[in-house]
Amino acid sequence: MNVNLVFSHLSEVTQSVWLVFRAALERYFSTISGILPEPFFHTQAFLTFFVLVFLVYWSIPRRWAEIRIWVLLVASFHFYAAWSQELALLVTTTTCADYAFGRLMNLTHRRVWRRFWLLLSISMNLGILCYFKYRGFFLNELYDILTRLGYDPGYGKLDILSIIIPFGISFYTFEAISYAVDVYTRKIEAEKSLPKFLLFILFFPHLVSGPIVRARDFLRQARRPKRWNWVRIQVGVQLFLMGAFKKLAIADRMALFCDPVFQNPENFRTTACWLAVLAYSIRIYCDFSGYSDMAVGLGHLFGYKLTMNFNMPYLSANISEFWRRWHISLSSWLRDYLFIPLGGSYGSRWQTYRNLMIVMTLGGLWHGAAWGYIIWGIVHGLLLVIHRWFREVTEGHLRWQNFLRSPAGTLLRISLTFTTVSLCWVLFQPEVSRAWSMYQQLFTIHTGASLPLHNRSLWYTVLFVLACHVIVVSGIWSRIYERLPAAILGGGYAICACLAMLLAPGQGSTFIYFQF
Amino acid sequence: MRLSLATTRLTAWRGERHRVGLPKLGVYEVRRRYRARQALLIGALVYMVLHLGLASTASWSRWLRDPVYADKERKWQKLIRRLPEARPRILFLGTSRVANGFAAGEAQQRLGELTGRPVTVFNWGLPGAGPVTQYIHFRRLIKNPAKVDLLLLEVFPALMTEAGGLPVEAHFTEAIPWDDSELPILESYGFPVVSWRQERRNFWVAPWWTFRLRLMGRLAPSWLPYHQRYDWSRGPDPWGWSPIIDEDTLAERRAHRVERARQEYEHRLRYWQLCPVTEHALRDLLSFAQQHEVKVRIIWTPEAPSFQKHYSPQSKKRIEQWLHNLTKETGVPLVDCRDWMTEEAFSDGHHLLPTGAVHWTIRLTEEVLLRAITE
Repeated sequence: MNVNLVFSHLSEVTQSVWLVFRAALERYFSTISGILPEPFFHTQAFLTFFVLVFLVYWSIPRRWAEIRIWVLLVASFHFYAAWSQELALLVTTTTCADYAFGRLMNLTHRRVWRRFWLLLSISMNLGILCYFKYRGFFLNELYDILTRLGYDPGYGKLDILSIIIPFGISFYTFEAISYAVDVYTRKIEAEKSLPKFLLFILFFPHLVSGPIVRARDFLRQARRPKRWNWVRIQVGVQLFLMGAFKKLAIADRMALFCDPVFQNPENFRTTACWLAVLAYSIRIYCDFSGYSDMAVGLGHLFGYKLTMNFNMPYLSANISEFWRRWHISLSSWLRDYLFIPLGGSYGSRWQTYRNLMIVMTLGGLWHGAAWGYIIWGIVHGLLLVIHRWFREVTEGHLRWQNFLRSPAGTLLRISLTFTTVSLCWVLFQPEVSRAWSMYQQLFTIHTGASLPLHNRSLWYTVLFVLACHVIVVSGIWSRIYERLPAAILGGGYAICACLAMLLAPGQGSTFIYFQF
Repeated sequence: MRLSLATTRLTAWRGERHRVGLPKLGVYEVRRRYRARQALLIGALVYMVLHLGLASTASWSRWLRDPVYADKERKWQKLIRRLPEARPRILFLGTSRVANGFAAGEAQQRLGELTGRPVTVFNWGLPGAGPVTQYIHFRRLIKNPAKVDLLLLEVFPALMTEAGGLPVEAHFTEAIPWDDSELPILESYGFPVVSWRQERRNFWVAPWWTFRLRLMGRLAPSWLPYHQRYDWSRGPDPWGWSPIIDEDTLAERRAHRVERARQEYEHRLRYWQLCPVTEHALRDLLSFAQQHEVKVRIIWTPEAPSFQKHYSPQSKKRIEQWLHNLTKETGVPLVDCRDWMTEEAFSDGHHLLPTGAVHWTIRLTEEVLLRAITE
């Protein structure tokens, strides 16, 4: 009797303590959320958060490397939890599970068990990805098919917009999968330190939108104690400023031209639609590469080198080269963990074509659960197949080869690749019908409204982007950079920061790749 | 000398590294690091100078904080400088309806012809400027030596209401344009000054971000969408009139604009309720003008039949009753111009097109202004 009373009393106390703890936790996270509402890099709130973390991180002595790791971990968790603490817990839990699977794989030499743990890790990661990202799309498609066939699906259509997709889910699941595969194939040892492994996935500069880092690159760096290095800090600041400029001054400006046209193409005249396609190409490049530059720059500021994600992709002379220069961390991931395991280009010609199509279709699906992205992936797959076929056809023809490699031929190939890629961006949106009506506007003469803003800033921006590419490709920049006095470099950084803010047109839109 | 000092420092630093057990760096690497440190420190210094320079300039420059007001003020001063003896000076305070609809230059010329002496007439219409903005602007103007003799005051009933617990006007105004000394006045009229103070502190934190649209609106207005330019008042008319440039009378487009005006105002006019603090501001403005011996006329600007139908009979009655009481209590006459113009004279039912504006201005000048200045 007394024991029962004690237990019931204890349970009441525990319950009330839990309730108090939960309320405190909720209050804590809602405060954090108020301070840092969105996990974006180009906000004042983020810069304050970053400066705080940066100061704490570098004020810890080098010999306490573990504490520095913990500082970054806590900061990364808060960075994500400020947006959603439940999803931050989910990411942390799955990362812990991935760590455990890796360790278990390492503990056994039996292939069956190793494969079992690998499959468990991949299934968990893909399962979570499918649940959050693709559930709505596939269930709705199934619903449509069953309804068309006259069956009762037994469930209602899901409201896709109401499903909350964790930020960066496509990025960190791919990182976790690559780790599991690398441990399985013994390319790397399973990481023994949980904090370091957690940091590999949760490190806030790459958490929400890449670049997709590989365990063998990151964990090696995490094990090394970090020393303050002015050159590295300079590189970090430079990349961050460059990224911020690309995002605020170029991508957001281009959004003023392309967004209204892409939303209602039928209202605009043909020339406006072509200019909007041009603006969108620049926008998506500067938006994503700007984000990646900021992420890599932030990594450098903490002493970590993340993969560069872009290498002037619009100067590619063919579509294969484009994919070696665009979103490099994803395309190399797809190559290493999908294309090569499928057989790569070692099989027959048709097997290679098939592999390319599979990889690019899945690449399209990776970007978003909608037909627009899938078709975009398929079209890119077809373009890669056509390019491979064309290369095989022209291989024996010396005259063709000479022409294609001449300056005029190269310029022609670059222009053709850029135009093709730009036209494919029209498909890069969830609604196929809108893309179709955009194509109609582009390829038949239509009258209608002109661009919502004067063209002048569009052309100046295009010229600026082109000039930057030319300066870098011609090697002028690397020659000048080495000789520039520190005062001019420093002044340049300050002016770049002010110009990025001055030229930002709106309130600062979100990054396109955050939705993936 | 400087080079040798730098070399000495570098050598000392290299020696320091060697003592703590770090590998000795090559001269090239040491120079790179030294240059990186210098570049970053200089960058931070230059940024601080630019940052503080803009923030401190903005703290005293009205041209940066409130360019629309500054434009009007510059034109007004210029007009007075050009015709210092031209009296009386007539100022029309109002919203965009006044800004678009009152051709002050025409009024000045006509009055000159009618009275046989030079006069000054200026249009101080600003988008969304209700009684509170008008009061503060008028207080600023009174501080200037150029005295105003006759004040025309637009009353737009839709701006005399409340929305979301705030005076409607508060939704059209921003935190930045005001002087610190004006904030208590705004607070007393129910403006969200507490949240504004936070926003105003922001311009010390990120001035280049806060003032980007105002600066770009001056440096390269075509780079911004129309609604972000802050150059509304920069038009070429020296009397402050901002005629609607696109005098498009195409029925379909006019219908679209009328519909937009309906969406914006119908609800407020149908269920019109007077916002007490806004009325208080209007009364304060009237008594302030009277204290400074400025004659005042309240003007209800023209409205097309398509716009007038948004008033419910009850609302109409309430507004008329309120205006009747106001004029009776303050002794300020009301000029009701609602029915003076036909539908075709308007762009959207309440903003006059240039031709309509000239007609209305001439009639207002002949029937109201002439009498007001000769009284």
